[in-house]
Amino acid sequence: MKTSWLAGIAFALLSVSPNSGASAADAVVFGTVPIAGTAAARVGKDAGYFEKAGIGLEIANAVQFANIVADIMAGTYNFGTVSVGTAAQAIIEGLPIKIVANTYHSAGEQRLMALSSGPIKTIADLKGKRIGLGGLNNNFQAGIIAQMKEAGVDTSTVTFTLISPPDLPASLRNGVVEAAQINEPGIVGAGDKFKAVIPEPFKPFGENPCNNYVIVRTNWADRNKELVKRFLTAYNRGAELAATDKSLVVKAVMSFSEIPKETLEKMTMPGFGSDLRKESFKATVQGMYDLRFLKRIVTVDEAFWAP
Amino acid sequence: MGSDVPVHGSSQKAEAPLVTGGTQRISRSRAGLTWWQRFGEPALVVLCVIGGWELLTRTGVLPAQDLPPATVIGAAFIGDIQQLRVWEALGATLASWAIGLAASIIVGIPAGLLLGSSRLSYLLFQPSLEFIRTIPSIAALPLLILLLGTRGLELAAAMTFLGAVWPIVIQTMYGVRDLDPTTMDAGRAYGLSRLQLFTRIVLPSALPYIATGLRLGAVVGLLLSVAASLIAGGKGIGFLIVNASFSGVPELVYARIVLTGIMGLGVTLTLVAIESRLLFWHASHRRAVT
Repeated sequence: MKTSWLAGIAFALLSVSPNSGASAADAVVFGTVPIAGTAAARVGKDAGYFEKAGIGLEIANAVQFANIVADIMAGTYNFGTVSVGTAAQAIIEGLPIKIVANTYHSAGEQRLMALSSGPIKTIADLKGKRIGLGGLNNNFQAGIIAQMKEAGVDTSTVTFTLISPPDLPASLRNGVVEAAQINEPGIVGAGDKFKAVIPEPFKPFGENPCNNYVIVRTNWADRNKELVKRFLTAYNRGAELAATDKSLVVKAVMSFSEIPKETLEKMTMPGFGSDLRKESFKATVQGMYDLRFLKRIVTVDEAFWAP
Repeated sequence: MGSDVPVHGSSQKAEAPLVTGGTQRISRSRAGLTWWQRFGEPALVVLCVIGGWELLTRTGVLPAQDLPPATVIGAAFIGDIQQLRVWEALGATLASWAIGLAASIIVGIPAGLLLGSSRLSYLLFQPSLEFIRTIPSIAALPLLILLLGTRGLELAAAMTFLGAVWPIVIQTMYGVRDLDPTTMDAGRAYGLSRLQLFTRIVLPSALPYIATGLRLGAVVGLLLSVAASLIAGGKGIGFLIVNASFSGVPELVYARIVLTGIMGLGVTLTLVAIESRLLFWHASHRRAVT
């Protein structure tokens, strides 16, 4: 009797763990944050690609990329989406993670903006100003610093202030900062009140560089190669579909976000695709290392999964 | 860990200072409140706050784009509560809270009884307890994310436990320690065994304290359960607040904050009602015939 109880408990535990047992091998948990850039997995799911690949995909919600890394390490997520900087930082810290897919690449959905009615008209006007950013020591900051230096701005005179991304438009409107990182839907929401001072913050890292990658825990991926390959086939098909049909992205974003449909239709969506853009990864890591945002260079071989 | 403040006295002391005169005074105090005083005046205060908010945002004193008028928030609230995912999120928050609270009761009450009844264990553990409970429970969140992940209810339940267990332990402990020694002497004089002393004198005397600890712990636990999903994500109502914020819809952010407040109020009122029922015999809950 006691044995059957223990067996029952063991079965229950195994059935809820995403990492366990043969019967649950096809249940995959993918961790995302609620931004439009994470739409590819949902587009693929809506299109039935994961189901066809024999994968029961659960899309879980996190608030920060750093938490996704923690969840990947804890084994509660099998795959997760993180920024380039977060992935590189995790690898430098010795965490066994690898990049397996492109989550999204830059397409103008993030900009450095200032008030249209304010004194900042060009990059040169940023000298001595306060800039609000959604994250510090990341690829956005590295990109705008590179462009400010190129425009002759002494960046030591600029103050960078960390502000929660949803609060950045209000911070700019209310004069807390004089320029700010504005992401969609903030760009559409601002209308003509804001203007882009640096419309392509990631330009120093190449043409539409990859901003965000899908990662996986290395030892888990090595143990489940066939499952990872099936996941990637389905995921990349979803990403290719998202790249060709904005209406599918809008529909996918509406399923997890509160952004009104009319705003979504006006928004500049991030770029989707299956191309890993390793050159942009190298350039981004180099740019962040040059500013000492990273302790060392992370090579492509270290970062990308090779089954 | 917990930021709660222990109530060094029985539950009636913590809640209604006027009861020191005994049952007769309580009933007069309660009976003296008219319907208008009990419900009308508090409602008037709420209406004044809402009206003031509306006026300040409509006249441009407060930026309406960032702090929407109360009527806009009200409309968002009405629309939002018709969404299934809001109720699912509320359900997830309440489920994790209930699991965490149950665990803190299972651990906290026996621990408090032990610490209160044994002078040795009290002396051994009291300094550590006083130190640990001053550390904000939220500081444990990064470690718990690593251990439990953010996907399921475990993280929010663990945060609830950390928030709720200390008030329960401390109130239970003080409840036992504040026991009137003459009552115990009387019990011994009547030949009660140790078990009988515990079940007939110690536990009933400590119950009002335990109830206060439960109520304090339940509210702190609920706050931490919401905070866990607010900071880390997952399935709770906190994540929906963040999601509305990411979506750039401030009226929905405030509507969900209001909903969270209503949930907290509901939990508090439910616990007060349960306490009144269970402790009907205690002076703080008796109504004398006048």
